Amino acid sequence: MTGDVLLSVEDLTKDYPWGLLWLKHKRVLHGVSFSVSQGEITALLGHNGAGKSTTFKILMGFLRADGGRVLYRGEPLSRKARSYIGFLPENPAFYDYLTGRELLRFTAELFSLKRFEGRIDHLLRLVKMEEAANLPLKKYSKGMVQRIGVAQALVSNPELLILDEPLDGLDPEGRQILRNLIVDLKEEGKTVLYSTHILQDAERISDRAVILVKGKTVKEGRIEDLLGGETSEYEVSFKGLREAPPGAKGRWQLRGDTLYGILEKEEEVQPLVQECLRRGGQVLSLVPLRRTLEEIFMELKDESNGSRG
Amino acid sequence: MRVTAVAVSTFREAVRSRLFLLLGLFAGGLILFSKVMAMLVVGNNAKVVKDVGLATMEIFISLLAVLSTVTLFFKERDRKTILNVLSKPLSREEFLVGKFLGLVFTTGVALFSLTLLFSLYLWPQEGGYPFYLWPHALLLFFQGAILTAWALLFSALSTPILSSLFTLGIYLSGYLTGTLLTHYGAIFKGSSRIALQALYFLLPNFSLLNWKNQIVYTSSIPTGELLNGLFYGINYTLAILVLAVILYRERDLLL
Repeated sequence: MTGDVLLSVEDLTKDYPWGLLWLKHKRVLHGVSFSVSQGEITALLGHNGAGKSTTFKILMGFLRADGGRVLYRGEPLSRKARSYIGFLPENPAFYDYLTGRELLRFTAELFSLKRFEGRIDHLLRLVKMEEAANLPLKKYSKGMVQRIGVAQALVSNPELLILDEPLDGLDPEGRQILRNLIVDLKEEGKTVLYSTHILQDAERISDRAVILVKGKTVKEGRIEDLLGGETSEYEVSFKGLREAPPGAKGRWQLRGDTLYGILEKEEEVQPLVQECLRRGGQVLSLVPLRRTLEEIFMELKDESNGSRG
Repeated sequence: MRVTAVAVSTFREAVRSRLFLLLGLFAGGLILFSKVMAMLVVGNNAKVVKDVGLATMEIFISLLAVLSTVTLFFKERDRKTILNVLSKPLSREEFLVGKFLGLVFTTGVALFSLTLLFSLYLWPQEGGYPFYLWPHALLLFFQGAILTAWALLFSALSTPILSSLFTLGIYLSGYLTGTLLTHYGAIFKGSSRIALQALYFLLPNFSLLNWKNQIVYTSSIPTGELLNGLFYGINYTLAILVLAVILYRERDLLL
């Protein structure tokens, strides 16, 4: 049911061995915790080296956690449960002598599926790769590889999709195609957990976000809750005025024949607008400026650096 | 089905590699060139041709087994295609066994082709089709399988260079194992002798699988020795493969 917790990550820790004979250990996850609700898009956000890929590698069984646990529908995540998960690795690479269609067939065989040709045709249509389906993968662009990668993650019709940096390295058009695809998958009833450091994209398509800083969860919640709903500033623009009324607070700039102002307090807005109208100005727009995910992320990162320093 | 899928993809990738092509061409060329070499040597020309051909088959299969295993496994890790495969409901055991079967099948196809070429080449010289080459090729196939299993074990645990060196070390030691107990058994006593025996059983004994010298002179392998070699080859290969699976099963994929 939509909203139920599908995946729960609790206090994951991970040490990587290093040094001579790998006798030393470096902790890369210091207690990562978050949950993924069914039918939602959850973004795992963090800077490079924050622990996003390590977390995914633990989820997919490539690495073993040194502490903490992962639950899938309330049960410890097993190999069987992983068959309900589709995964796209970061910078995915496939056997490049295969064609797109052959890759999907190979994937279907790894899932021991029978009668999968219809499903493959559906997936090729979904990711808009019907025309390139019979081309070898080595001829694919980065965006095409990502899309066929999403298709192979969907071959078994999984409940949960885990996508590691799916938008990374794509041009604006490629990013848009993939963003739309992720949203389409949600509308098909899939649950999506993906990582990214492109925060604008995360803000646009995600229902929830988890922010990791230096291997630790520092914030988790619904996007609107994280952004707070609170307005930090107001942007107002006028036509017919060349400068701000005397005594007006805020920051002002004339661009072309439009005067733009940024006001910091809500109570300043109404008197200013009235004053501008009285002076013959015409209000073109009044936009409350919300804090962005990027600002919140940078604040959390700075806080974390401060607390560690 | 999952193991078969991995095996087929491994075979397809292995036969497409330049290494396979280069080694194949070199081995085929050397066999065809063996008559020219025989002309340069004083003595029994027919024996030189057989000697060169059989040695070429053995070296080709051993190098192919070691190098194709190490390079394919390295490529799988280096390009991270392994992440895509292991993210499916495929256990590490199935992955390694699939890889092994694909590589062994590649070696088998190469050995079959080379034996066929060599047998056709020898046919006029021998005055009859040299059927005796096939049992020899079968035993050589198991030598290749043993080396593939060792190369897979080392590749799963270490770097490509170390894996190649370790497996080539195993290859060379495989020719000395037979003499371990016969030459040094009497010298070592007590715990040293136990260690020597452990080493004898741990390292492969290729003298049970390689009848090149016998074939050059008698053109046959005794049936008992053939069966003994097959029994040894199958069991030893399985043992190393099981060891590789055990060591790889719980290992972190640090990519």
